[in-house]
Amino acid sequence: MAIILDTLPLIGLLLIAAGGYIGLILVISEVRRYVPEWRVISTARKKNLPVLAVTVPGSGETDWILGQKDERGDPVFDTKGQFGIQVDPNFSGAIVPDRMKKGLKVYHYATTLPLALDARHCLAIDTVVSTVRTEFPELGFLTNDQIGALLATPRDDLGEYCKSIYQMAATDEIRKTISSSDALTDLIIEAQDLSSRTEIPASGMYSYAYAFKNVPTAYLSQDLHQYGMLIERKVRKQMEDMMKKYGMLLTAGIVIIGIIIAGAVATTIIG
Amino acid sequence: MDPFDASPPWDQGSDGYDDYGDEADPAPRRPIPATGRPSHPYIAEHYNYLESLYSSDYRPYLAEKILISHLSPAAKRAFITTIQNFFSHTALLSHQKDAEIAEIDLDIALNLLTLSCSRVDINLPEYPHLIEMVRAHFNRFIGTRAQGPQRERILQNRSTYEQVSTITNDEEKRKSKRGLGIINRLIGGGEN
Repeated sequence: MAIILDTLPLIGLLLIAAGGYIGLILVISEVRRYVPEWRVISTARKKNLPVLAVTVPGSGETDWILGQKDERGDPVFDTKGQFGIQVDPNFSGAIVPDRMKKGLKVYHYATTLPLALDARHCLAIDTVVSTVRTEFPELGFLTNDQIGALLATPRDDLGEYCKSIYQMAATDEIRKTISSSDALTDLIIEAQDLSSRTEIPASGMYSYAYAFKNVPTAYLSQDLHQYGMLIERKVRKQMEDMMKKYGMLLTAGIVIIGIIIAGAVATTIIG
Repeated sequence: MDPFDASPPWDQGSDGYDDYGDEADPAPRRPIPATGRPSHPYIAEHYNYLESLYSSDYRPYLAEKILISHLSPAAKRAFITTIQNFFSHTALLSHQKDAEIAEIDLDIALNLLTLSCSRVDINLPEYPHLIEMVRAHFNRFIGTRAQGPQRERILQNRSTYEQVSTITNDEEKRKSKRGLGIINRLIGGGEN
């Protein structure tokens, strides 16, 4: 039976199809252009995986990476080593993720740190730094890193460390305000006491980039990555040495077994 | 001079090997020789000579540089502990079968050392310099003193035996040149 198509409906159909295709292309190009993380987010929701928001501490730019693993139970995420190693918060300690709709979890990492931070850490770091800056304006000559390092120094080491920092950082102008390294030590002890008493606010504005920039730890995720590689290299080297040592013996054993088997087979065939 | 009355080099405190927090009992009057030859009556000069072979002359200098640096006390302690370990007599006397493994061990220790450092420490220009100095020095002595059949310490300790061995060989050669043993015995030439 012949199907007769009128020209006008055919043109209409083609126009609708073309419109549909153009619309689809526009949507795809818009998604690809303005939501480059769509695949990460969709896969994370589909497979119930976390998303790792990896922030550059200096610029604050953040990449969203899928938190997948090589094997179930691995303590670290497989991020193809692009930012060192990111430790799964289930192993490193209590981290509260950002929870999105439909069960999407987001953990916050820095490109330089192996451990995640959450909002409480950000608020704590911000509170400590801002409290010291507000209450101790005479410590203005110290950088945030120096403040963090001094606040984290045990009391019995503080005198020696303050002496070193004082030698490095105190200009003649500063020496008028803080006369000696002992005076600096007293101020830091006061700042430590005040920080321990200051309450961290339950909510407020915070920045992950600021927190990552001022977190006192110096052990980078690249260091942890290097540590893993060194252990791997050592084990591989030891295995190679063992193979060199016993390789000949193993080859000879295999050859002897082969000859025995071949002999047995030949005997069976002949017999 | 009685060799055992002389205070051993590690009791003199001149090389800095025991200067960092080691407040243990003083060294024994009759020290155990590091070569494993207990009945050898070394004289003090020989001890000093061996001591210089088993020590790194750079280590006290390195330790001093660390102590006067602007590193935090925790970082200084970590550095000192690391170099005390890797430049100890034990490390120098140990036979490293593979220099690469020794280097990896040092790299691991230097990596873990960072855990004791603050951000201020790792941003100091002294930090990478000290790390590199430790690494370069360790690799150098591992290559010359603790690795391979011709390593320095073995050569130095074996020199005495090698000479004895050469003399014996020469004696044997002389004997063999004089002819067969039986004829020599009959004519009495082999006994000389």
